[in-house]
Formats: sequence, C-alpha cells, structure tokens
Amino acid sequence: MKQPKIKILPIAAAFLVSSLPIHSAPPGEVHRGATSFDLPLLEFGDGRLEGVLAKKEYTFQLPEHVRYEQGSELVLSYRASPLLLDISTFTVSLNDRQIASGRLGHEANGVEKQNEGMMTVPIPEGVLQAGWNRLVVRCLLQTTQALCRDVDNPAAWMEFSPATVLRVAYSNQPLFAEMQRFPDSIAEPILMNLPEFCSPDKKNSPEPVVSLLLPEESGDPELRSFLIAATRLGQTVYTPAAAVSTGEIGEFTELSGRRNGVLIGLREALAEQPLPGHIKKALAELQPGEGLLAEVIYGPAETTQRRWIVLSGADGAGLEKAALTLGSSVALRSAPSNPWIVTKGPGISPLVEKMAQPAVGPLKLSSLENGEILLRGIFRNSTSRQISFPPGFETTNAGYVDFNFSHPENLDKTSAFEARLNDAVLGSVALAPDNSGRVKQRLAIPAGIAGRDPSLLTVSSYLDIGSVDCAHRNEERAWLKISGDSIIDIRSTPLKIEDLSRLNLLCLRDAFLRRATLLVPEDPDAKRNDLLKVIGLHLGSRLPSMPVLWPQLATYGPDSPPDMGRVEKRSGLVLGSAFQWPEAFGDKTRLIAEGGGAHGEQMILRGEKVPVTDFDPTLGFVQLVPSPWTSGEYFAAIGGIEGYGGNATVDLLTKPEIFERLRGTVSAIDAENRIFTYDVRTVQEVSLSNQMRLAFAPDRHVEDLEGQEIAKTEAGVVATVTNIGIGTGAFVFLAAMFLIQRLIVRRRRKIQSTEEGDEQ
Amino acid sequence: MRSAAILLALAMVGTALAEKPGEGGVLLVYDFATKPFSMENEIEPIAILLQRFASGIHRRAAKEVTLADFEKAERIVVAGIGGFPALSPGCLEYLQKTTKHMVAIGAAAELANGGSAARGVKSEALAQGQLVYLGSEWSASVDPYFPVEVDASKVLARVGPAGKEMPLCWRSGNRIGFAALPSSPPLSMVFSDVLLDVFGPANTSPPALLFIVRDFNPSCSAESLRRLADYFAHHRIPFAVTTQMRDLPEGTEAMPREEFLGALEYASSHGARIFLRGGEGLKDAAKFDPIKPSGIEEPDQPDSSALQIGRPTYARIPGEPNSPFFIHAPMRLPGGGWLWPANVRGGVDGGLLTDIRKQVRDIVAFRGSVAGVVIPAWMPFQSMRDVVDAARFSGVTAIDPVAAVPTPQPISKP
Repeated sequence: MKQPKIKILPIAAAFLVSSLPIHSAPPGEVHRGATSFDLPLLEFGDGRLEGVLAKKEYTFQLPEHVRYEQGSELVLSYRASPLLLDISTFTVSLNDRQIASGRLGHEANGVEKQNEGMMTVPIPEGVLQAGWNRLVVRCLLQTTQALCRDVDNPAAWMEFSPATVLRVAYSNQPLFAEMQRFPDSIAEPILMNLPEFCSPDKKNSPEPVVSLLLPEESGDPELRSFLIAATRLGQTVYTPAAAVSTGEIGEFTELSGRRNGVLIGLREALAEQPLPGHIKKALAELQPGEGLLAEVIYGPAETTQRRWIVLSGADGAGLEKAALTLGSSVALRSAPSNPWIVTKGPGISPLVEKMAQPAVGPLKLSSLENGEILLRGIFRNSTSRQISFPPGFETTNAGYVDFNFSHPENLDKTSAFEARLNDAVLGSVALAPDNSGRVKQRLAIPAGIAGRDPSLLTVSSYLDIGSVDCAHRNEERAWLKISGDSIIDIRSTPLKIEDLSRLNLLCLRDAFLRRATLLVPEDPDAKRNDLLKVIGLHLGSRLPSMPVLWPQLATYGPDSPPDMGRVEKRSGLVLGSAFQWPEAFGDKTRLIAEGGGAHGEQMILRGEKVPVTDFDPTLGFVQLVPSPWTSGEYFAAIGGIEGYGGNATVDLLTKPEIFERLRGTVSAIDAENRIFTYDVRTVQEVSLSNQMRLAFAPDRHVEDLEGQEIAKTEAGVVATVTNIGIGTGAFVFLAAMFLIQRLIVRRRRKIQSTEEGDEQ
Repeated sequence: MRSAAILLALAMVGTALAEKPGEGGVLLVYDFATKPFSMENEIEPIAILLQRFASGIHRRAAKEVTLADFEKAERIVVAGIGGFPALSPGCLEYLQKTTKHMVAIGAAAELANGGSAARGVKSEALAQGQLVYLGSEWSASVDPYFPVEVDASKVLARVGPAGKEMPLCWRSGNRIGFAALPSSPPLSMVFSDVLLDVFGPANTSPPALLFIVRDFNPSCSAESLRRLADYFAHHRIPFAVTTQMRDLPEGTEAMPREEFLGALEYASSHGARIFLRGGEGLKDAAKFDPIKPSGIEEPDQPDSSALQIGRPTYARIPGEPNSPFFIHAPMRLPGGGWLWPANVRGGVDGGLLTDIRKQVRDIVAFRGSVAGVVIPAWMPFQSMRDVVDAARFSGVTAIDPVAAVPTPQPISKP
C-alpha cells in the first residue's frame, strides 16, 4: 500500500526531543457533576411486540467521547393487550444482562389488572458502554391457559409508548485530538439528543450539531473536499441532514465554540481564521502540492469542548490530497502527527481494494463471519450472514445457494425456512420428515439483485412442533441447522444502468465512489452547497462500512465546461436548473428536457417548445443522459426549471418511495409527489409535453395517477385478451369454413359419382 | 628544600590514604541472611536496593570478611539481620575509623554512631504507627526495630505510634544508621532515599511518572491502544508498551497480524517505546519488524545488559518461586542494563483509582523516584484513560524510558 509521503523523521525527532521531561499539565480534578441525556427507545425500532413468544432487539450507539457514570436508568412505559393472562411476562436485557422483568395481564376469571404500566429500572454501572449496545425485550404473551399454539394471535401484544426512554448518565471529559476516529469523532454528539441541538417546537429547525465551512468562492478542489467530508459524515448513518449545516469560513470564529465541524480552504483563505499558532505555522510552511490535515480542540477543558478538522493545502492539488486522506479511514489510521502534512495522496492496498469487489467463486458458509447457521426455538427466527457483494455489481442468473441443512423429524408440516439475498427472496424450503436428515437443497439466485453495503444472506425460519407449552424452552425440539459446508455462489456482473429505475444506484457503480462525479454550477450558491451536503450524506449512508470514499466533483459554467479529468470514466449527477444543464453537457448532447428561449421563457421537451409558464414552478425533473465523455457511462440531469429543484431533487435521490417509482428516461415530480415517467426509447403516441400536462393536471392526484396506471395496465390486458380472442375466433372461423368447404366438395363428388354410376 | 620534601611526603601519605574511586564497589557485610527462626531472605532486598547505585555488590558474611575486603571497598554496608555481625577486632577497628561512606543496618546500626559497637542490642516490635520522613508520613509497623540512642539533630526519619516516635534513620558524618530491616515499603523507600546522600550522584532527577501499557497482545483491542496513543500524543506524554504475540488468554480471538503490528506502529509513531515481553527478549525483535523495540520486560532468559521494565524478583524463601520486590527508582543491572520499575498497579473502578493516586503520591515523595504506572492493555480505552488521569493528578512529569535512562547507558541495545 502506498503510504502518503510524510515527513516522518523530522516530526518523529521533534516529538522525541520534545518528549524529554515536558511539563504536561495534569488533568486536574475536572469533576463535572454527572448529567444525563435521554434516548427514546422508539428511535431504534418499532415499539410493538406481537405474538406469543415475541422478541424485539434494539441496537443503539453511544458516543465515545464522554464518560458513563452511575445513575443511568431505563424508563419503560408500556401497554399490553387486555386479554393477556397474568402468566404473561416480559424481560429486558441490556448487553446480555437482564435488567428488568414485568408481569402483564389479568387472572383468568378475575379482575382485569392494569394493562398499562410504567417502570423505571436502574441500569447497573458498567452495563452501558461506548459504541454499540443491544437491548432485547422478550415476551411470553398468552391469552389462554391451554398450551399455546397460535404464534400470530392478534390478541397477544404489548407495545412501548414514546415515553420509553433510556436515560444515560454521563460526564464530559476533556477532548483530545483523534483524527483516526473521524467521522464519529465529529458527529457523535448527535447520538446524545442534547437539548441544545433539539428543536424547541416543530416550527423551528433544530440547531445543527456539525458545520461544514468552505470559502464563498470555492472551486473544484474545495467543493470536492466538501463533498468527501459530507460523504464520510454520512457513513455514521445516524447523522441526519438537518444536523449538518453548511456555511462560509467567515463563520468559523462564531461557530468554533458552538459546534464540531470541518473547515475547508486553501491556506490563503484560512489565514485570518483563529487557528492555533502551530497550525498557522504549518500552513505557512506548506510547499506547493502539499496538503494539511489537522484536528483542533476548542474551548477550555472545564466546558463542553468542540472538535474541528482543518482541511487545507498550499494549492488545489495539496488540498485534494488532504481531502483524499480524510476520505480514507485506512489512511487516517496511519496519521503520524497532528497537524499532518500530506505530501502524497493515499493509495489503496490490494487488501482494501478487495472490499470493493464481490467475492469470487463459490464460498462456504463457514468462511463467513459467524459461519454455520443454527436457528432454535419455535415459531419465527431469523439470522443473517454478511457476504462480500458490494455496490456496483448485480447478480446474473447463474448463481445459487446450496443449503445443506438438517432439522428434527417432529417438525409440523407448516415448518419452513426462507432465504433472501438483501431484500430479494431466493425461495423457501419446506421442512418435513422426509428431509430431516442431512439434505441439500439448491435455491437459484435470480438475476438483477444489486449489491449493497452490507450485503446480507438472511435465513428466516418458522418452526412449529404443534401444541406446546410456550413458557418452557423448546429449543431442543425445534431447530434448524444449516451447516458450514453450504455453498453460496453469487455470480455477478457490473451494475447496468438502463433507465431511471436505477437512479439511486447511478453513483454507486463503485463501492468507493471512485466512478461517481457530481457536476455543479460554478456560481457560489448556498443552495448548491446544501444540496451537495445532502447528496453526500446520503451516499455515505449507503456505504457505511467502506474504508474509502472518493467521489469526484466538477463545476461547470457558460464558458467553462467541466474538467475532463473529473468526468471521464464516471457516471453521476448533473445538478442545476434545466437552463444550466446544457452548459454541463455541451452542444453535442441532446437533452430530452432543457430550458431554452432567448430570454429563458421556454422549456424544450424533445424539441417541442413549451412556455415555462405552463409548468408548475415546483416541478423537479430528472433525465438519464449517456455520458458525452465516456461510452457506457450515464449522467442524470436533475433539478428544477429555475433552480436546483429543492425538495423534489432531494426526494428523487433519497426517498425509496419516490425513486422506486421511476421508470423510463425522463421523470418529473411535483410538490404533491405525483410522479410522471416517460421513455424516449419507445414510440409514444402522445407527446412528452401533453403527457406531462395530463399527469400534473390540477384535478389529478397521486391516487388518480396510480389508478390511471392500474387502468392502463388493465386496459392493456383487456386489449390483449380481446386481440387474442378475436384472432383465435377468426382462426377457428376460417378453419371451420375450410372444413365445411371440404365437406361440401366431397359430398358433391360423391353425389356426382353416384349419379354417374346410375346412368351407366 | 626541607619544606618541599615534607610537603611531598605529606602528599604521598595523603595519596595513600585517599579513597580510590571506582575499584572497590559496594561491600555488603552481614551476620546471617535470615532472621532467627525465619527462612525469609532479608539480605536480598538490601542488595536490590543498593543496585540503584552500583551494579556490583560484593557480599560477605561477617565471619568471612577480611580487612582487605574493607580496604578495597569504595562504600561499606553492614547489616545485622539477627544480631550484631561477628566481625574480627581488626575489621571493627577499621569500621570505627574509616572515613569511607558507611551504612549500618538493623542490629549493626550502632556502628553509625561512630563509637564502639554495642553488642547484644535486643530488637523489639513497634506498634502500628507513622513513619515520618522529609515532611511526609506513611503508615508503618516495624519488626524488628533495633533501638539506638541518637542525637535528635541527626535523625532523618522517625517511626512509631504518635507521641512515641523512635529514630529510624540518622546521619552522622559519613555514616548512615538504619535501625530496622528495609524489606518492604515504606521502609525500603526511605532507606533508598537516604542512601542518595552518600551513594547517589550530586544531582538527582525529579520524581517522574512512567506509563506502561502492559502486555498488548493480539487478543487486545487495537482501537483502544490507538486511542490511548492519541491521548498520550495530544498531551505530549511519552509512554511504553510491552508486547508479545505468543500467549493469549483462553477463549479470546487473535486479531490479524497486520492489525496488531499496525497498532504497535501507530503507538510507536505517537511516542511509544516498545518493549518485548517474555520469550527470548530482544532476540524476538525480528518478528516485530518494522517496529524497533527499545527493551524487554520479564524475559524468560535474563538479560541484565538490556533496558528493562518490570520488578526485580528474588526467592524470599529458598526453594520457592521468585516473587517481586518493590522498588521506587530505576535499578542498575549487573550486565550494564537498567530496570524501570513497574510499581503502580491498579484496576478499573473508582475505588482502585483512588489507590493509584495514593500509590503515586507515596512514590513521588522521594527523590529520583519513578512511579511506573501499569495500564493493563486488555482494559477498554476509558478505563485506561482513567488510570492515566489518576496518575497525572499528581502533577508529576512523565518520562521517556529510553531518553531518560540514567548513565551509564545500557550495553545491550536492539
């Protein structure tokens, strides 16, 4: 792996010399009284548990920069079905330690006990930990005294109310620079739901927790650095767009004491900023082509401190080297010093590169983490295994999974298991006495399943052994084992983009985003930056475990086409208004929809000029255009008529309920989320503009459009059936006519021969 | 002419009488190695404590020591473990008249008063009380205590119940008297500190902390070590990491080798000195390439020429396994190496953090002391940080175990 060329020796020597008896200030008794933050349980999952043996698992992350104190508690507010008997119970475990139990229900033939409850459970010290925690609720919800049978009894339920919270006692600690923990080190205050960052009411937006600051006049290097920082922040998954603000570096003085953030700019741009002396000195001494990456802690140790990453360079090339370093968690783990003078962009070792490639060849289940599968207990169970099938690839139809499994003979005939790859069902296998021994069953992997991060092979079982006492353990009688020598053979091919149905995958043709580029107008615009932030966060959230994220970005303008080096061999998005898209693509590319007219008064839809005033100004458009720079690559021009498209653009890119409805090569969406799709590759009877008018007519609603779609489909079916019927009928008629004619001819000949015989 | 000859003669006599530095080392004379009716070795702790000042300690039983031994020695230590050592009259006379630095311990403490040795001093056991030295106090009980009449102005340390403190240590000219056996702290620390005035260099270094992340192995958390390295680097605190990759706790999983070495490399680039733990010591260095270890910890094969971290050990009772002996300052090794003490050990929760603060406070009260704070590498980061913060609360500076090695430097280097 190529290591960034860094000035190790002088820095190490300086460090060693400086590490001779140095007066490092003692920490002092920074005993701040413990305080607490509340984590609503329902933020981590649905609060309803149903079924006789209901179980629900909540995983949540706690920040690593604070110290967890005694005094944490779990406040459970719940209600349960009034039909439960008082043999019904629930238990709560936190990190494998049982911390609470409760009884539910009423006595048979007795007075109905309360089916609402509130309990406050102290959490023993040391149970909560920084990082991931797991809270498991298990229930026995019985409505009859008889042996339980029906796992899906609708009368057996309990649910937690929004008042259920985990109250975490903590104390602040002085921060220290730890660049290698980026982005969690910057974003983790979000996990705490602190009042200072919460919205006082629904009308006001919450105060952002993180800021990304860059110069007002930002070029490709600055904007790309900004995008890389945003994608990496998105990898935390828990960072919503509202928690991150964008702004100019002039706001740094004010914001450095209020939030964490990332400060981006060339050294000239940062010269006036309140940075520590040693950072300024390092900036001043940068050579051409060198970048700087630093982490600074602001605020006295006794207060809540803030953490800022400084991303800079002597020039654009240096800045980008620093940004690429920030974009690589592998590179950050080698950070030799703070500040870090980056003289060479980081590389990707073969080992790391493997994470961006699918597993090749058949794999044994035992080779995956956690290996073979053993599902125990009656009714529903499920488990997953992570498999190397990253974004940028899709399955072909040659793949399969050979399950080598066994189960006890006594399973009821309703028992079965189902396998999924990501969200796609591969198939189900019934569990019967005749396949209870060690049996092999193959399920084909259908083509077209897209890789994800992480990709999961999920096995869900339903194991039934008939009437049983649910209160007792039944794991020994109901189990399913899928042995480690089961084979998974995913045959994959690079992801194909054919139409807008895969708009959400357009930037994910490489798991490290190396084949993704965003083209944005060169004019400074806060909305542009905000949109870049949202897209970056979204992309990062789709790639939470990838060690490297290096999206590209290029600006464009009326007289400045995008830098070829930033767009070739890549697919991506062209952001901007319909009037700006042609500037990105150049004259040789014909767009399906674009702004036009001498005074910007027209939209040109497949050559047809339509007044802009005919369109709803809130419409957002997206069209898929083959890349004019590289064959086989695609760009989606997305935005509004006049601007970036606002929420419409964001929704098209980030909301599954929106982008899963896209089809064809051009789509539009309005403020009511009515979507229109059109495919220029097929002959259309109605013009694009007319179809659009029809789709967005004021009296049409989403349901209407959906109904229209259904009616269209039904009509199509009816037409097809009618056509077939008519064709068949015609064929039968003709066949009948032919037969009748043949019969008549034969009969006539017979009569003639008879008459001739009589005459003779 | 006559005057010149007289001056020359005087010079020659003076030269003859003058000490010859360096040649004789330290002579340790004792009656018996153990107390009466005890099998516990009481001489070895004294020898270990003397190794702070000299690597070559020449031991002689009282009945074997000769006048020539005394004459050759640079410094003399006489220890009466059970009773006054049975020295020959000539040796006794030499001891009474010598101007060499001398330390008299236990039953032999009377020798420090310069007068004739009192024989048959009966030892007694002092009740739990306070040991007072250099303005600090420690809880201590002393058994055996050998009472001696001492001029109060010469007393350096007292011990005993409140209101009944007895002289424990005193200085009279070139002699130090110590009326007990310095087998364990705080007595051993007071003894060692007092010797600085007669045995030590002119300037001693100030008390210091040495942070030791102990036994980082492939079952530990690389993330925790990295975070700790960041924490130390942020505060510009040097530290040591002792490591090995052979022995993992049962039931644990080993991280990949690249990750393990990567974490060590990261720590090294952030101020850590790597010490190889156990095994063949520095001979195992190649397995850790590209990391360059600085020394060893508790090697299976002793190597007294190298820089080490740990605790000296000795067999308290013959035939039993060696057990560690507490030292509060770096110790010279016979082969030329140095041993940094790993003498502050704590745990993970508040009560034990208080104990760490106390241990550090007790150690740094002494000149030239080093509180070697052991941080088990298996602990989660927050717990390790808590230990570091507890120790740093003392306000004492942390040292680099390589850069701060006292002279002479170790002979054996990786």
